[in-house]
Amino acid sequence: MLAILRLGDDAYGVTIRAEISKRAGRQTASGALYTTLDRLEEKGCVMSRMGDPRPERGGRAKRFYTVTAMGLASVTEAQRAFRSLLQGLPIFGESNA
Amino acid sequence: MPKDAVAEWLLSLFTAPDKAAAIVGDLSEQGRGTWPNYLCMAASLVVRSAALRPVRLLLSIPLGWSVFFGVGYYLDRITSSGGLWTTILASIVAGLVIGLFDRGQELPACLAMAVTLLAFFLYVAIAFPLLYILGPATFVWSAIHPPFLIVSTGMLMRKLRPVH
Repeated sequence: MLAILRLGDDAYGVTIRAEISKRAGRQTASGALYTTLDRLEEKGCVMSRMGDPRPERGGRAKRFYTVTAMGLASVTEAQRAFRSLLQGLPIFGESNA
Repeated sequence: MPKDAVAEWLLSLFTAPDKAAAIVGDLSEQGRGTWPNYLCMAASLVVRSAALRPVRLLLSIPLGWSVFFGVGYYLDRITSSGGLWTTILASIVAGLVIGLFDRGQELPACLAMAVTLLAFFLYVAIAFPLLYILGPATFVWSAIHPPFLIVSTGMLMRKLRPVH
């Protein structure tokens, strides 16, 4: 969802995968990516729309994703939980107090 | 490209047709439109589909077995001949019943049933000397055609009732 947020209007399968690879430094399996996007869409965290068919894609359209308000709330909550768990842990050379 | 069209058709058995087209387009754009990638994608979609309602999927296996052997036994009794048509009809009816029982994931349910049936036939081949009695060609045909027909019925049901 963070990758989709970063990409804005250009978030589709290829760019999402590339963004995760660039930021996280690891390749995502295509199967895992699309099934995760499907699951997030079912939960209402993201929504998708079809773009226009493109010749370089064999006449197939892109499926663009955007994060919904519910998705944004989930990201915020996960971030809050992550910070809370980090708090007080003496890692990264500081106390995270 | 025919390969991409076939891959799109294959993926559309497990997800919505427009999603299947977008996935194939994405893989083509990345230069990753190869059969191993398409098959991995199809496997991921099968697992995802199966994980949606695992209990129903598991229940569809014994149901399929009961229907397959029940219908087969009944047809054997009324026709008192058995043979090819019995297993063909029993396989199709089993596929139909599984598909109706597990609406929305007809194909994963039929695939699961077909895999267990194939495993059963392999067990029989190993445990009993059927291979020698029937001959390898007849045995392979006997083992392959019921699972194939069950999966084909699941495919047909999926195509008649596409995912949205």
